[in-house]
Amino acid sequence: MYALFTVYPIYRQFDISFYNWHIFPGANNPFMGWSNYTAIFHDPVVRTAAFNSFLFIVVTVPIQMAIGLFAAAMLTDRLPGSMFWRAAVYIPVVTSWVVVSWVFSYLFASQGGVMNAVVGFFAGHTVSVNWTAQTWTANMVIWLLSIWKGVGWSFIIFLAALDGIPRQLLESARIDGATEFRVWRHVVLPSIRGAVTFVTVLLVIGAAQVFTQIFEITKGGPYNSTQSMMTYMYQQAFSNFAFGYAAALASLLAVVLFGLSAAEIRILRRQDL
Amino acid sequence: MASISLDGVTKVYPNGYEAVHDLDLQIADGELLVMVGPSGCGKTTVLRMIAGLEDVTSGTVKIGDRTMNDVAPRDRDIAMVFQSYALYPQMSVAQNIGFALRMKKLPKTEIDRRVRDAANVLGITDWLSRKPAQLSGGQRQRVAMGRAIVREPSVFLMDEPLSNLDAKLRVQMRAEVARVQQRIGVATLYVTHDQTEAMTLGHRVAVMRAGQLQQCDAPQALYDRPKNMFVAGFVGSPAMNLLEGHLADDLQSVTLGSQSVPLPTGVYDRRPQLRNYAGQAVIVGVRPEDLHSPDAGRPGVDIEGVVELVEALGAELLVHFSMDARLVQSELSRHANESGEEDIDSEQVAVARIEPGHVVRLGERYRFRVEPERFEFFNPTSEDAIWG
Repeated sequence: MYALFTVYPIYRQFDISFYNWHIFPGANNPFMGWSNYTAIFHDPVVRTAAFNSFLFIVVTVPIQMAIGLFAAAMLTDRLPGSMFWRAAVYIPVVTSWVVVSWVFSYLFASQGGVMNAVVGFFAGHTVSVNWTAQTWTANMVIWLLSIWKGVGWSFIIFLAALDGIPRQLLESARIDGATEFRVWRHVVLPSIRGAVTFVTVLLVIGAAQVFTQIFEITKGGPYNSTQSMMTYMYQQAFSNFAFGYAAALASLLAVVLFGLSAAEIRILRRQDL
Repeated sequence: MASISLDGVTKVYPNGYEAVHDLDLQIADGELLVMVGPSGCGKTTVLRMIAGLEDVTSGTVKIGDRTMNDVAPRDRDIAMVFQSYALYPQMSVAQNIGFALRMKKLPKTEIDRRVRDAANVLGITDWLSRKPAQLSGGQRQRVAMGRAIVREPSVFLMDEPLSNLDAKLRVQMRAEVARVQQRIGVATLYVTHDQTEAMTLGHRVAVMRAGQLQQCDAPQALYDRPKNMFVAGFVGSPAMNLLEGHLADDLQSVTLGSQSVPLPTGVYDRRPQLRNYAGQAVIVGVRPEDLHSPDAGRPGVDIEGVVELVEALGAELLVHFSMDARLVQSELSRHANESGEEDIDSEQVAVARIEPGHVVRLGERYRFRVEPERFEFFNPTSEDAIWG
């Protein structure tokens, strides 16, 4: 099963990346050698997409982790009402990417959007910013949605990790004279290092593959300025039918992600938090 | 160096459960006071209130002359050894021991010196670079002690520190704890549910039950003059046998089931108030070690029972026997029965601890020699000892 559904598709993707491949059965698929790969390094949209993907990782991953950890720390104790707040933080995770992407599109719509109404209220006059039509505001909307929807996942992992710290360890540190900051620095963070590694690696892998929210909100526009590696790959494959080129992009992304994950695990394991 | 003083301390949890009720207790500087009692009696709560890990609902906790009710744990100058040792898993033994000193921002050379000193005292210098996961239970326990003593605290708190060790190691570490406490010489509260630990370690022992202090006294005094049936049943192993009895109108004897046991006047000399119970029910307490084989040549009177079980422990025989007098179950043996820890139903049987070498057969009627002067008497309603 593993060979059929994992090994073969990976091999096939790698194989296709060396051809000018057509989806039609029996079509002529000329062998291209490494030319799909060399083309990647000369494609300006790939540079934009790679930069956007990198920026998306750098912005959304630390913020998601910080908010998730903060919320988990606040809601670790089973105080009255904590179950409500735990559910509130986690609920966005179970919503549909497509649906919430549309909801965010409406929130940030230039005409009748809630965000323009809010900004207009504070500005004192009518505002009609076209949030999703400008590169940086569109990126911001995508980041915001991704953080909002993703925080609950890291929250739940951190909550479980914090719950697993023996209470006596924290009490012992407090008695030993540690301030709350030092309790976190010397006891809590080292105790949840495994969870931090896990969340970092998976969030980075997920963020590098950001697709749905960009596809639904900006389609990579305006003028490819919000493309990510995945949306560009999709566009190449299913709009431009350049399957060989898309497969080369996918292979390259897989190699980069594999290297990145390995490096993260090594760094986080070595680091004495 | 300071004393600990609890004045009218009460702890009520938000759900209304009163864990500690109006507790007055003083622990002198240098004293080792052991607080003992069954699970849920509030002893750990008391310790945690002194440590500042639990709020005090009412009353005052003082260390030295300073009221500590609203002082954070880190500012109380206390050291605590936890049941689970609470060693920081990612730190080496040396880092664990020196953690509190690092928090005080002492110079590194000073920290190293004090860690080495503490390690020397506890004989753990060879393990300083190891992580807690590489240590056995006994070694971890020593590290936890090292972490506490290195601080030179004014108060030492220990929460069942030996309960995770096996029986042999526990005896060894008990001596170690006593030695270390004597060496550092600060007021120490040691919490345990093990009465043997309490009796062997404590300068004084405080017995708790359901949040209330039952008696606080020197171990021998606790054994000799238990204030009530609970303390009598708690202190001593096996526990004191508590039998329903009836004092004769003429005070000459007490009836235990169908057996009448003559009481010499010496019994009343020690407790004149017992005379007020003429013709009334009393609870008679007999320690297992006060019951002897009739062949041992001791003075006294005999009481008879049917042997239900004989446990030969080498140095002594534990003879479990039934008699027709009703036994009053102590709270602890009730608990042991409920949790299935006892092999036989202790409601039905008394225990005698007799010298080895006597032939005691299962099922036979056996006569046990006892000196009635050794009996304890309790009011069956209030459960208080009849003294004075």
